[in-house]
Amino acid sequence: MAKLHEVKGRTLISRAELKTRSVGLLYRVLVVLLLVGTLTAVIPFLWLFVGGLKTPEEVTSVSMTLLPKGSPLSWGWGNYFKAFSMFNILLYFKNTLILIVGVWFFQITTSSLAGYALAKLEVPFSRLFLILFLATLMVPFETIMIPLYLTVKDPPLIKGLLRLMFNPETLENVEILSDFMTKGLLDSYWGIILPASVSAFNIFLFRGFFQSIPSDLIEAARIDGCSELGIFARIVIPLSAPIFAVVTIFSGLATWNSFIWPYLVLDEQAKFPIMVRLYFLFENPETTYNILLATLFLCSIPPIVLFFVFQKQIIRGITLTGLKG
Amino acid sequence: MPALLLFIYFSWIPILRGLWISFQEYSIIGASRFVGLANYEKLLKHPLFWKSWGNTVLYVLFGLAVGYFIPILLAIGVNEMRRLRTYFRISYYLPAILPLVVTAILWKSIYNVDSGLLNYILAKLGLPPGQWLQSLLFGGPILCLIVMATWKGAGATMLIYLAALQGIPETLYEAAEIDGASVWQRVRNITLPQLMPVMVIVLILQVIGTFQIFIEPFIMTNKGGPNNATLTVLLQIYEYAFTYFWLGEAAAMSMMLFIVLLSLTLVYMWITRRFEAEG
Repeated sequence: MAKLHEVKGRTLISRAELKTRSVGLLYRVLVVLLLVGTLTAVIPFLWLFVGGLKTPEEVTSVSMTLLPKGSPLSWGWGNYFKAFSMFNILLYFKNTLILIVGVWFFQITTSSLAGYALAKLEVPFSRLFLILFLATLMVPFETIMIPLYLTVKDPPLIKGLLRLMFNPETLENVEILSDFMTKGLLDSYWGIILPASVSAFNIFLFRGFFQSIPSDLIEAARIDGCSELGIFARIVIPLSAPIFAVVTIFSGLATWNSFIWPYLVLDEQAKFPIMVRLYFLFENPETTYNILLATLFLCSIPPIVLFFVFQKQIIRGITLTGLKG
Repeated sequence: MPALLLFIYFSWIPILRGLWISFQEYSIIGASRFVGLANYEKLLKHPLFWKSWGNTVLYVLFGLAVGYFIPILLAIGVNEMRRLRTYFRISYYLPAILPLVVTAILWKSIYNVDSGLLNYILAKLGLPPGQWLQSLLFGGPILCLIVMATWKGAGATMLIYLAALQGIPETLYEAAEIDGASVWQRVRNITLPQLMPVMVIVLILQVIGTFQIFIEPFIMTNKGGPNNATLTVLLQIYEYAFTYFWLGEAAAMSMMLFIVLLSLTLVYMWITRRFEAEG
């Protein structure tokens, strides 16, 4: 894979050619076109931000203007504060954060260990497992959405096991158990975290990366008496920081942006992650448009900040994996 | 192996269960019974079933027509830039960072007939306003959704092409220039053929992705409106399952979608393997 930041000696157009009149003109036209292109990418962001500053009348009026009326000082900066406090946005940010940490923890532990086992340990049937893991990549999430929903609602086996372990009275009276018996994992974060932890893609990424670690290194540690988990924690993880970073960033972004599954699983509004809350805000006819736009903007800040901080890793991650944000 | 347990429980069992449910008259509370292919037959007679497949094919065609070439052109252009390359890369990628739910609501406001940005611009140019998402023209609303999806996705695809462009040996350009090939001839005879493997892969990935379009119409056209003009296969599956509670039928439709996507994936794997074999 080519390095992205490498500056090449030449591209399609050579340096000498740029000085000729026709190619120079072509180049200038290209620059202008691309600059105009970036405007189309950026303008909707401005539209969103400015929309959040308008009054409800301004934002829905037929004779709309681009900017709110009056001087910049009199614009509706208060809308942003209103959006912040009115919907208790921090609660939903917090909910999302819990999910991000939960999904991240389960994803990273299970996928990295599985990737390691498939790459370096001689597990029986490892090829079969690899194929079975990869096969799930071909099944789009939406295809298993319905059976997965039923699984989460009514977890097979576990219910039967609980029935065997406890007598009916305990099952009814202990709250956790009775909740589980009636709703399964519905309306609980586990119903989101556990299915999300299943990621063949991450296993595949980890496996690929771990394969590039020299086996001699691992062998040497084993001879020195290091335990298998010790090898993993002290040798493999430090050597694989880049891949852990990429998986962490993408997992966090994906959880922040996830909508349909949490929307199906959760019922109670106080538990919603931010995107689900946003959808209900949007559906609610009482929401005024300016506050909606302001809230949209606030909800986009965390991923955008994350992007600017980890820009390099994200762009490398995309070119490495072909994965989109 | 914790990963194995999770996989069995949340991936493999649901897949098999989905297949099983698709042959059943499934009910959430009561008993379910095996009905063979009856669910599939029932679907074939349901008008919205065909509507949703037809629309989805339309999404794919429009998606290719509108969205396929833009990232290639952007990448070739940005790769030529002598300055501001990071700026271009970042600003084109920026829309991909925005959460899909936010993008959808934002674009719904841009398309708004009364107070949207697009009609504002048209009015400034002295043109009549458009109906956009409420358009009754054949394919109009789908086109609107595709434009939004392109806006969001083009930057990320551009990055993939940029990486591929960096892999083209400079000597090829050098030699062509000495032979007197014009810029356009170089694009046609060197750049595009060299990008071909990536282009084919992106093509298939885009088709697979478009087949799964769901959240955009779910939010922007209130689950497939106006008059089911933007209904997609996945929306219809969702409707069967969670509005009509026809779980068996919904699972059957999922299986059909799965078979379509599986065949596309197999083509994809076959092609990537062939490219690898060729080196």
